[in-house]
Amino acid sequence: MPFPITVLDPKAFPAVKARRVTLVHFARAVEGFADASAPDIDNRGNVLRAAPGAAYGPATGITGKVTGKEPREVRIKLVRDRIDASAKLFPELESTANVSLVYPLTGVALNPADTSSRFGDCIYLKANSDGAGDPETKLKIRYGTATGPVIAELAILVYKPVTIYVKIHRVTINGPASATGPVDAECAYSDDEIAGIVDRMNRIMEPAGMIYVPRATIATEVIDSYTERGTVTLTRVGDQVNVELQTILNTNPDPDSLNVYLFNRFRDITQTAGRDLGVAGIAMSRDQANANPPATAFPGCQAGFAMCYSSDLEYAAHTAAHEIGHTLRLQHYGGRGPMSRMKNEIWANRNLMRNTVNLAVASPARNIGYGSYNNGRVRTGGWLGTKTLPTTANLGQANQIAIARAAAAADSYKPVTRS
Amino acid sequence: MSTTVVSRILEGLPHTNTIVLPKLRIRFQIAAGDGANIGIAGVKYQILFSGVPMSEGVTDPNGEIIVPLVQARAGNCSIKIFDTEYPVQITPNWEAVDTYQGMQQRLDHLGYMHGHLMDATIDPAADGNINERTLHAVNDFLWDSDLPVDGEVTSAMRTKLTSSAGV
Repeated sequence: MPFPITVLDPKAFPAVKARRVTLVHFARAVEGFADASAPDIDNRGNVLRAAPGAAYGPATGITGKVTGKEPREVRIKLVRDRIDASAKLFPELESTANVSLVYPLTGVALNPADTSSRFGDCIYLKANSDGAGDPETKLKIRYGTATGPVIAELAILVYKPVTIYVKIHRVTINGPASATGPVDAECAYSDDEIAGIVDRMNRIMEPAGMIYVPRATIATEVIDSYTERGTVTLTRVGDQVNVELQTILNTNPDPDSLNVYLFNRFRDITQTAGRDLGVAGIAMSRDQANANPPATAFPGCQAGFAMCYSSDLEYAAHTAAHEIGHTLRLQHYGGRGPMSRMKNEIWANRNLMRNTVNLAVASPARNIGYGSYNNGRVRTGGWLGTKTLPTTANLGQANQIAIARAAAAADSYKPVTRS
Repeated sequence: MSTTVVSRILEGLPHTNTIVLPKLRIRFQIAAGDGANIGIAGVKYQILFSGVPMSEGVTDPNGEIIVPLVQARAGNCSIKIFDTEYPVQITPNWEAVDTYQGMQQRLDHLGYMHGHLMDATIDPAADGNINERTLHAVNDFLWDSDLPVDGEVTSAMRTKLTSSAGV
């Protein structure tokens, strides 16, 4: 198949520099909701920077081995942008100390065609160490032979598994004694739905080496005399000092878990009707809790997160994973600093920490490969950054995985103990 | 552009003149951009005219191939390398860098207009339309250039784009 190369006429424009041609690119090997066996990749830029993510190209993460458990195979797609399917391409790992090739094996060319057990032009990998120290290596693609020239490379980080125990609280919110709110008082999430959400949260977060394990029992909490039945009402005060929200976050928290409170809805009375039900979840980290201690008629800010009901479990899981990100000190992913100017740009749209869970359908940056929710709205992505920050990129938090893992090690998601 | 020394006979007298023969420079790289150390060196290639091999060689340490402009301009010129045939097309001009199309042309020239999803279609034409591929290329270029990454095409980006592409 011919691949035209267009070049500016150097006679008319003698200052034109050499035309650059790249042959392939790495891509997430699936489309649709997050899949732990096909991690998204951090494909921001091509300049070689310091580790983590030191490659002339993208980077991705996989979870290190868990004792007694077979490590998951993950696959990365190699897309042939400008190279024929007949070209022999050989994947190779720079080091096999922490990760190994499963398919094709070292010295064997990629198969561009699907087989009954493997997808075409996909490289299958698995961790072969526990990832202590979060080591990285490079996946290189060689042309022609197993020792031929390198035509592309990808950094692979192996993350030592971090387990976060999750305590689920299903909250019944009673309104005033005479109130009949538009939603039920009792939280609508079933046990199966909650299990489905946790499973999907893990699909999102596994490439960051983070594993969520729910505690054995789901707590049932009952709270009385809220403004509206089944509802946490948001007002003009900040969420960290909102009495209804913080009362819930202070209800029987498990001291050694990430506490998750589920109920039927948020209503933001500062918004006009129709826009007042847009909040899906709110999270607090331990930093915020410590900064907002108890006061008169205020129980104090507490770490954890609160989430309302959605019958779309992928929507709920995306919301939950995003909110957990906040408990792990992740800020919204924006163009110019944390939360200040959220851009409708394509990396922000792919990022788990974008401040919305769905995208405007008219946006040209909506084609990010994550599909749509049940209501037809285009999903934002579940990717987290793992590359080193350029000096002036003003992204705020480029290496989100490192930040979240450090926060987890510092227990930023656990509740503050108050006497 | 490079120079070549040729000998000619004029009016029966021996002369040695230096004339400039414009040539196309095409670099195959492991990643987009105008940085160093990313060329794919030492790969055999052939330059074909109407399917007939005219010359051959290996890519230099920068991954570069030089194609005589006269051949490329005549049409039916292609490069065979990586088990793949690349027809060479000459474009007479680019749009101004402050137009969307002109920006796309320069990003394409620098190798940034590849896909980022599983889409393996060849680059879309620099048609001035906004698409995910262009938005990704803009961000990639901003990141590589250490400019604020926010999807915005600024005068700083245009200046850097012009200096990187040369035009």
